[in-house]
Amino acid sequence: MSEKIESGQSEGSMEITLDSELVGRRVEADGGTQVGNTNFASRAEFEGVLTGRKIVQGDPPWYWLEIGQLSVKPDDFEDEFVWCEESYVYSLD
Amino acid sequence: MDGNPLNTKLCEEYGCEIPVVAFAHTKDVIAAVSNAGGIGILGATGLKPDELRSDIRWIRDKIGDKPFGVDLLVPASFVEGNREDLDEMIPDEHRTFVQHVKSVSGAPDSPPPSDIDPTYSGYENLLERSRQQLDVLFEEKVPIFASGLGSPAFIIERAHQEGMKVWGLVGLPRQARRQIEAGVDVVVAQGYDSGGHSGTVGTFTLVPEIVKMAEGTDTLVLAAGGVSSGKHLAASIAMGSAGVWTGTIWLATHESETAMFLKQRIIDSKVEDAVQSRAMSGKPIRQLRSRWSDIWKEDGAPDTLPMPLQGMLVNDVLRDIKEANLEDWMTTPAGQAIVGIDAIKPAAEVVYEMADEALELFERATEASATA
Repeated sequence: MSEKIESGQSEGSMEITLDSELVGRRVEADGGTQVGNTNFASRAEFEGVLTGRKIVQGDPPWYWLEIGQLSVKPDDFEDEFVWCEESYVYSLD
Repeated sequence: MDGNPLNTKLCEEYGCEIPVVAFAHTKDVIAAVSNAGGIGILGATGLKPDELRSDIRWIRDKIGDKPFGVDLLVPASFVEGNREDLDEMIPDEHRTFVQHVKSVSGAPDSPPPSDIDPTYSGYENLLERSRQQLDVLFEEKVPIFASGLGSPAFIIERAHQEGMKVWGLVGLPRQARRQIEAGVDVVVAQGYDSGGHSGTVGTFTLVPEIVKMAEGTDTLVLAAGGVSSGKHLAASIAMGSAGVWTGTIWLATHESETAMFLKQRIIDSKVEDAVQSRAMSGKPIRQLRSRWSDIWKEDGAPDTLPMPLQGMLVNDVLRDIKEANLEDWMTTPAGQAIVGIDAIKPAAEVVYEMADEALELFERATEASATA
């Protein structure tokens, strides 16, 4: 069950929903992103639990899932949560 | 195939003559490679939409209807964060060390950049920025979109409707599986030898596994990482790939905008000089060894900070170094393929040499098997 909880800045092109069916699922994910405004990027692996928060951005829709309780993350990763693109999130349950 | 081992499915489906794909940030390299019979892919992540459109039109003007593409670093993950909070997390020890580095390098203060665009920061903007770039590719009907990092699955259907092909770079077999299932046209299997954000699996291990995974599907596989010669091209085709994806070997071509001193350093380098360093961003990036990467390994140097703190810590001094053109301290992303670069050549010559050497190897192998 999904519930819209907030909208992004970009004129309705992005919204954050809460999907109760996702909450608590154990997952692993392949992440990574561009480094600042450079041509560099990084890859990163995560393992944790879905919080249920989900971003839906643009058309065609681009889905992002928030992962918390991170048990696997890069050595130097200090955040408690990470948003990962849905295609690279793998269920561990 | 028609008996010519280089006439792979990549050539049949894309209209190229030589299954060599060149990734470069210089549009002149892209045009030269596509005109020589390969496929040029422009690394365009740093370009704003109007700049990207201009480069696409320039390339098309130079190559006509020959194949080419654009690579964007579509994100795969991000974190929410507040820059002010993050700034307080940088230890004094690190600030002191960076001041020491600045002093040792002799870099004078440079003026702050004047072209910072506030719309190019923040995670909402990160996603929106990718969308804007993709929209340009659709509007310009670029033949190939290559996703250099994240999965392009969300965009495949629309791209195919527009007549575009979608490629995805992967570093792990499971990423390849997801992309093949999503229907990407080409998976680029990028091994540990690569420059920049290299994977963790070696090219010779990764490629055959992904080739096996793609059997029975319409997805082609390209080998990437450490590719610098016809030997690598022949070996990649022998492993079942439809060609090779290359990057480092174009840095020292005539057409490349890489600074001349870096081209010379690449030519003079040994394979050990393609180092993985966290000193620029906090993330391991394979690059040409420099005094910058060395000084962070010296006794007394602190550990690098996590991204984005390391970048926030060093951005100013790196800009000072670049503005002062301190050659020993500057670098470029580069893979282990630097070992195969021995001269500055026209990009077309590099393409032809790879093809000639690969063909010669295939002929030799055929002769050897005939006499066995």
